[in-house]
Amino acid sequence: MRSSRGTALTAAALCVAVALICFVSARSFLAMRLPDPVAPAQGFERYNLSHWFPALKGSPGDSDVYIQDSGVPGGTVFIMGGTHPNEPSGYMAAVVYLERAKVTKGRLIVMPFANATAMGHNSPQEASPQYFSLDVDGGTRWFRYGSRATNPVYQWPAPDIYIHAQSGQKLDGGSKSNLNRAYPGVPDDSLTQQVAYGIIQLLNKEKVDLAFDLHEASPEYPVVNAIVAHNRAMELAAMVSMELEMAGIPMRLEPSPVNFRGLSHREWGDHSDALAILMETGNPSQGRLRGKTDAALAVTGKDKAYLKAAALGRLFIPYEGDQTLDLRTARHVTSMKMFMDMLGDVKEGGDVEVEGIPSFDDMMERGIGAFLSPVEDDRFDGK
Amino acid sequence: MKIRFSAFLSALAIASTLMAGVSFASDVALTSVGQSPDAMMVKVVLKSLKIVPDYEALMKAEELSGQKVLIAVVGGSSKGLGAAGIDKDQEVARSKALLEKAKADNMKILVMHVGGPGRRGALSDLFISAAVPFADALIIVDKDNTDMDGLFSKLVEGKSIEILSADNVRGTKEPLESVLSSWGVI
Ligand SMILES: [Zn+2]
Repeated sequence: MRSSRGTALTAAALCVAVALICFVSARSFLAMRLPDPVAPAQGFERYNLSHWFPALKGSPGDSDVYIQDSGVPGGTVFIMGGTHPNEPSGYMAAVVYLERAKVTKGRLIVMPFANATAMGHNSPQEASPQYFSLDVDGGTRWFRYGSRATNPVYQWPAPDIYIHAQSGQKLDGGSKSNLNRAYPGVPDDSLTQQVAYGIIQLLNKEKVDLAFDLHEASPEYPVVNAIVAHNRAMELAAMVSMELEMAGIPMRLEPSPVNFRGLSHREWGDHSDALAILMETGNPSQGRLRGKTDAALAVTGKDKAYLKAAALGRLFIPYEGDQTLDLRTARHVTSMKMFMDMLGDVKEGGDVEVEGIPSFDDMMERGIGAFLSPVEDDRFDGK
Repeated sequence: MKIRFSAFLSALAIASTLMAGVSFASDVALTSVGQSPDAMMVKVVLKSLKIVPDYEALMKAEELSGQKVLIAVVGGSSKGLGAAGIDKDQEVARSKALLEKAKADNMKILVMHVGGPGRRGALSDLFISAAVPFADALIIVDKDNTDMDGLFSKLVEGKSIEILSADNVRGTKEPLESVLSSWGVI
């Protein structure tokens, strides 16, 4: 019988194999830190958040911000995706505006990946995909599927308890890395608090009239397919909600609770003149009831456990077997368009006109990929 | 000449409708019963009828000041109650006091439920049961599905109240207009 005892040669071979595996997985892991390339529509100028809060210059949280000024006086609308990078319809809706919008009145500001470092890693123990892809005319587009939290490489360790600086509200320590608990932000605290502070500076210095923070939530969470409005934005939101109901795309309207601090829909409205709106669509790939979690789930929302839950009446969205990224993104895109169309009715001189945005039906029929441009991207080569 | 005269008449009719449409803000008081945002939607519909109501989600009995009509939009929202910092019992007490005062002041009371079947359930039903018995008129969105169990019908039983239905919130404009004009505030 031949002995399988190791030799210097097998040890060396083993070392080489381990090194190779480490190299490949590290490369794949670090590829997540490379930004998703985008193809802004004509007229957008690129800035960074540090333009409004210079302390962020050169930091990993210095997220890209794009501004398109029509040159015609009007209002200013701010669209923000990527607060929570495991909620893809939020940043995809921002990207659709970034790549399609032709602003003919007023100004449009788009910040597609708000928490830049949260885009660059996955939440542990969630088995989330690293990225997903969409077919576009003449190629494939890759987008990262990130985490709810700021990358711990840049903000670590979490405190035992997170105390919201302005209110003293106490939350679990992990919430300190949640951008949507950080507003109005703190200029000399952790990265998340600084990014939040920068966003408030932007809203004020650019005199934003209407601001969106785009999210997704688990289908079993009560605030889903929903608009959460600051009290100053409530009348406009009611108008839009009725309009959406007529269009067959109902979004339930919820007031922003006054006693829950740190959230965009509360603090943006309290610390700037913007009418603050947060919107949620239903995303099975972040839900607690989901099965296999992969890129397909993020894009199709197909999951048999959710079908069961729907039959039991446990979900807050209509669910008939899937909940596509196209549908979720189209909800955000269409809702925002209605808000912009009616902004001038509630805010004198606040009109913002944007052309080139695909309709809900167009996005459902052709998929959102049909409205994105091809880009050079070699981050996830071989995949 | 004949054509001209009828054109004059219709212009007159349009003008008088427009003038009547500019009703006094103080004719209509609007409140929520249950603190859902549905009352805000009714405010928007009223705006399309050129009515600017005195709107206060937490209107108190003593805040009624000579209006002719009280519109109470029923629908419970735990978020809304939380935002207002009150519990459901306090909300029922406030609403009942307001409705009783309106009745005592000989105001007309219109109760509206615009949230469809999604605005039913234990919390909303509590507010529905508290407010509907005060109604002089009742408008319900998607009545067939919303009143599937007959709760509304039971609450107005024995009274000569017609339940008006609309397909959606926007669609309440028509019944709203007819109720308010029959009460002389449009
Ligand atoms: Zn979120």
